[in-house]
Amino acid sequence: MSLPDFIFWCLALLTAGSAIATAVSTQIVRSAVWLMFTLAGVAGLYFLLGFEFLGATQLLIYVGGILILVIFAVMLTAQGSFSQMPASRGHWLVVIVIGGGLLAVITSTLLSTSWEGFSASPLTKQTDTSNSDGLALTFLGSSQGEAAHPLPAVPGQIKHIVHSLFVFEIISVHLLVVLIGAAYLARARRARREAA
Amino acid sequence: MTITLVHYLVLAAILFVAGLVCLLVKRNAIGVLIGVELMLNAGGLNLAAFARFNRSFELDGQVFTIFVIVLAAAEAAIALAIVLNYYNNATSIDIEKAQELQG
Repeated sequence: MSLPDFIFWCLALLTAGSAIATAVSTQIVRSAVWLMFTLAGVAGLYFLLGFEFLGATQLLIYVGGILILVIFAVMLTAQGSFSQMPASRGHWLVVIVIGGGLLAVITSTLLSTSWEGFSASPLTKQTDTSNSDGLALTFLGSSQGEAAHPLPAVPGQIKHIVHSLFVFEIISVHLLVVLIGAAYLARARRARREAA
Repeated sequence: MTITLVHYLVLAAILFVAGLVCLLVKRNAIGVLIGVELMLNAGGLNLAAFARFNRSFELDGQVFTIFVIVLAAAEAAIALAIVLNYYNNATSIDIEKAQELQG
């Protein structure tokens, strides 16, 4: 077993185990901590795939941002230390049947599909030398180096050009709107709270 | 046995199902949000894996994954704001008690 494969198995075990622990643990703080390990494991998988920029983004935004937000929300809404809200036994049974069925369907479909043409190839020069350069060019709508690799699975593919700039602008405005909305929703309303 | 695309896809499926179970089982509103985060991560991992194993999707896959991460951040911000607002009004985040939100 080569070293990358060994690292993959370690990261996969960490990620899957923490994800299951996230779902199973009854205390919300423990769920949040297990979520942190899951997110870190996924970031490690991005690094292993060779996408350093993605891994760094995952660490910065998820582990550094969203998780802190979640933990603050837990602290702000805590009702007594270690409050638990366990689900009933019948509820668990139904959920396990649904989850197990979905997992069986997805896995059997994946294993019965032939994945010819999808093999690990060395990263192209564009991303190999400096990963973020290629990404930045893609965001700007540059098609440099893209047309040389038409999709293998689809014959007669039209020239493959990336236009991510428009989506990038939309997502920027979307983020701004959402953050203003969140600040508006979550602002302290002291008068109302005292009345209640 | 070398690592292929299927390994990543099965791992993403496990992540997704764990997120679904978390979403359905938790009575705490923040637990539901954590489940959604897990499911979004599974989607991002799928995109990244396809980007690695299909050369013409290499850059697009990374861009899509970044979009997923940004959307997850936006979703977390707005959902936590709603949870805090609901907690201010009802002094509880048990979603079984949040019947009046049905409209």
